[in-house]
Amino acid sequence: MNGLLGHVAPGRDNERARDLYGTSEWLKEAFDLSRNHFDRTIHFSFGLLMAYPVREVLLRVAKVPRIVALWMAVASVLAASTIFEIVEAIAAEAVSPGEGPRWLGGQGDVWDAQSDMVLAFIGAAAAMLLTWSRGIPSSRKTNGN
Amino acid sequence: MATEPLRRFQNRRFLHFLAAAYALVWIITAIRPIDRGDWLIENLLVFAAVPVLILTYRRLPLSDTFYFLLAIFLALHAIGAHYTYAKVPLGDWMKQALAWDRNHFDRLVHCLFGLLLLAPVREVLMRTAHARGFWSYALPFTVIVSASGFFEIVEANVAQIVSPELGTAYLGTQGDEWDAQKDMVAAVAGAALSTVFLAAISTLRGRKVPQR
Repeated sequence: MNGLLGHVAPGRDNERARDLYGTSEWLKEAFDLSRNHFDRTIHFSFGLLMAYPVREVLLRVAKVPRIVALWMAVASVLAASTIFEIVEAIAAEAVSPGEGPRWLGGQGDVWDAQSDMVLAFIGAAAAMLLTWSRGIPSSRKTNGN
Repeated sequence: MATEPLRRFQNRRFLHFLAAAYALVWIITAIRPIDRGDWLIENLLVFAAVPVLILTYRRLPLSDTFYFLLAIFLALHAIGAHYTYAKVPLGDWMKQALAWDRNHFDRLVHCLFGLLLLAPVREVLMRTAHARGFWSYALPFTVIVSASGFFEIVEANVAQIVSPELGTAYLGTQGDEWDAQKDMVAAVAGAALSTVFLAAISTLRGRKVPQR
């Protein structure tokens, strides 16, 4: 309930993060973290979970060689994360001008954008390393079955 | 681009000229830079890129256009490194002439990164990954955008690891909290412009061929 309201009624600073991700407050307390890191978890999961589907599209639609698909899947995730951080910054300036990264997902961290992007990157790299090491057959080979 | 005969380095006059011109710019800008430490960090890119180009030349010799665009970008980077980017005279001049609040030379180079390097990346992807049609534009664009994001990550790490004073000089945020995002926007805009330009050229050429 709180989560949904957090989306439509933006609070400020940590207030919003608490509303939006209230359920993960226990993580902050359990690991004695400086902030609510639920958003970071999602940035990491984005990379971890999206790289494989992107690789499949690259193999089947773009028809690039398998090794290129691995690299390009990581690049695509990082590019999407980069675009997201740009859009997030524009949104933050539009909603609360002059407050900079203190508002929105920033939670007062000046390196917030870079941390978000590096987590998406690590997630994607981990997924592609796993795919590569296990030699998971490409969808193209099995003709989509 | 990819179909032109790629000769041995000994026979490629243009590349001799290009290598000599870049070496000259690099040496001049290596003499007494404003901040030697910053110059060294900025030049890590050069120390990594140039050996890769030399070592891969025999297996993957690329077009004159490829090396030309790359040399222009690296020459601008050499000038930026000499002046720690924030103090490049051209940027200072633009700041005064256009009444900007800061030296925007670094942002200009971020934009040129996208503008100049999209075609070289496309050439490599067309030759190695056999990217064709729509993907020969989408994939290089993706690579440039991700490289820009990757650069901002590296930049942030360097700024935090290296001694704080030098970190801020290298970081070149010049006090702007949205610096990373603006840098990335500049690169994305440059890459988008280049993509449209290349697609337009390709379309015009494609129309001409059947008429002949």
